[in-house]
Amino acid sequence: MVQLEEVWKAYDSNPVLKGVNFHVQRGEVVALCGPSGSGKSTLLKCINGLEIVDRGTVTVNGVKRSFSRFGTLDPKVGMVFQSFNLFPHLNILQNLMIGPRLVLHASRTDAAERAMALLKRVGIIEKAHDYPETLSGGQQQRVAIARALCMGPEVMLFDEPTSALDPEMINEVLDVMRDLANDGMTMVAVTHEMGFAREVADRIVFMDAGQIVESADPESFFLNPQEERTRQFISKIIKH
Amino acid sequence: MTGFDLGALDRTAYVLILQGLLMTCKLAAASLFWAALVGVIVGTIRWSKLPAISQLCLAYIELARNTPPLVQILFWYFSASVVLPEWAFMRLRNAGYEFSAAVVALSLYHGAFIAEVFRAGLNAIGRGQYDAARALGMNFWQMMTRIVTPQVGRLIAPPMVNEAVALVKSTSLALAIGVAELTYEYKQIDNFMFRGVEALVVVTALYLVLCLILSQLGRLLSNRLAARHTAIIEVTA
Amino acid sequence: MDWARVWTGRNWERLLVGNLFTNGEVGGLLLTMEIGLLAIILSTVLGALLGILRHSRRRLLWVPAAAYIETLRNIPLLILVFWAYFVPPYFGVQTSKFGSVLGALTLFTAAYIAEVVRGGLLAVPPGVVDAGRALGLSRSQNQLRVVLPIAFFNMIPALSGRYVVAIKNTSLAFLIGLSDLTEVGKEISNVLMTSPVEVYVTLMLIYFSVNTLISHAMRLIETRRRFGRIFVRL
Repeated sequence: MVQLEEVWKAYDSNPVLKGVNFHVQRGEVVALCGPSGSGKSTLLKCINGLEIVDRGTVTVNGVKRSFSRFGTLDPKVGMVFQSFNLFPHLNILQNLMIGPRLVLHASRTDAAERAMALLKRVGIIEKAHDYPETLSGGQQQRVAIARALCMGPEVMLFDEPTSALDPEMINEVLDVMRDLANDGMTMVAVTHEMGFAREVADRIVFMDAGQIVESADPESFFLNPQEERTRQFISKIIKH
Repeated sequence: MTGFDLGALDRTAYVLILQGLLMTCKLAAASLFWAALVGVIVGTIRWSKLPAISQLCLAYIELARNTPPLVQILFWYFSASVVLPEWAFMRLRNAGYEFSAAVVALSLYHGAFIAEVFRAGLNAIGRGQYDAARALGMNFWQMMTRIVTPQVGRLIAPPMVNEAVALVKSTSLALAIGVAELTYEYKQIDNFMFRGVEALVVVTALYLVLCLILSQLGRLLSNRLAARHTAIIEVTA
Repeated sequence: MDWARVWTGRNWERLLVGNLFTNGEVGGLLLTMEIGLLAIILSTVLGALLGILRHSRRRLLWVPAAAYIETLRNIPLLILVFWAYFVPPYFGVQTSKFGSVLGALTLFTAAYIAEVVRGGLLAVPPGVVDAGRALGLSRSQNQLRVVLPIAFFNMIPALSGRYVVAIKNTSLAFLIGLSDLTEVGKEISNVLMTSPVEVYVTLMLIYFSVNTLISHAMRLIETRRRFGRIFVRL
């Protein structure tokens, strides 16, 4: 479904991704973790084209992608951001409808129906005509997920979706993500929520300093880590 | 001189003043339009940091902002025939040469300031908005018109209004090349009717009123933009 | 384009110092800088005073300041110059071209600087003032050692901008016949007749250089923190 081969990327002269090979099967849920600066967010953005690789190939759904700074991105790859990034000048319903209307050329009624259905699914239908600033962080992030889902994506990318949330709101977002996974969505999530990763992910990938260090199913990853760096990382986070 | 007497300004004087006022408004409106156009385009280019062309824009902005507008007006009036290609020069000539030269000069001068204001506005909207719009698959044009402009408009309204008022005041410099705007007419009245002080009072009052009205309109606009989250897109059922 | 015709020794002399060496009349860039620097200094003092008045909460103080600022900011500088030059003679007062331009430019620029000063004062975070009081500083100590330095550094970029504008505005002297840089340029252009581009480009280059120097100097003051030491000698 998603294949990154020998991907290299540098910011100015700092290498951020060093020869990364990353594959995701259809319907797989991958949790991406690692220390900050390890390149996980950059890797994610290379998949949908918000970042352009210097070397290597990016293939999504069988099609090799070549992105340009000003070209349009594939709406079939959905993205949810750490800081939600809802459009403040539109109400919730409009936030959800703008993508389908402008990019997918959906009709007004179709887009509205779909938007309302998704709002119901993530549990915020009563806020449809409110503006983002009146919603809590958890609610905004659920709206953001719904907005991405409105495009009918085949892959969903999550860039630290709960890192900016107060603790009591994290679960409502993780619940939505869990539902999504159970419905068979292909997902790649950069996250620090290890409990979620262990429960929901099919595979956990650990990155450090621009390279993938280890990739394994949750059981093996936590109980039997192969690499030393992985062991160190796990020991630091499990203490919580 | 015989004592200050507003009544001494006869009909001819007032006609001249009115003509001058009209010309000032024409000049200001035309220059503002072109300045805004230039400013938005150049500002967007500078924000995008495209190599080569954005450096060119920087050079233009620095040159226009650091040289006196009067000198720029004189430059375009006297040098246009040398600097511009034949067809452009002919078009300017046909539209009334002094007027066109003044419009070109003022547009380029204030356009540089507007460009910087616009660039600051584009930067002030968090990077996340652009990412979110692109992630949904929007193209550059859609993103700029539906997502960026509504948010930018709110931010840049106050400095834009300031720039507009400054532009109205700059029009007074056009008398140097013979454009019959308000200040020029004052000089005419002073030279030929010797009622300089009265005329100056009237002209000053007119400028004050004009600029204050413009500022007030601008403030109204800013308030309206800030209060309502106006959605430009009719997407709701 | 014939640069050699324009860039003669005699022309450059006139552009830079006017007729200083021929008949003692200052002109050109020298005159421009004279007017400009004097206006900058005088308007900064006047503007600071006005800004502080404007910032005050007593109506007796801020209302007249606001009236002055609003009036001066909504009329063209040229009109102000005409007021200064053409009106006093009607009342029997003699005016000089230099004096009128300087006076008008000072009054005009002071109105803008007043706003900059007010902005700088407003931008001092109130928490900082509280912290100073909490430490036991007296009101005057707080104003002098805490508020003023912060406000000052806030203002420098905006001040720099207004100073550059002041130098540019000196070119209006040309319109009442004063031999500033622009006037000299126009004279040269009239004499030569066929090289306006070179002359005006030269004028622009000179103004550009001067203004860039000023901007850089101001930026140095802003970034070199050691200038802050003049406020805090403990």
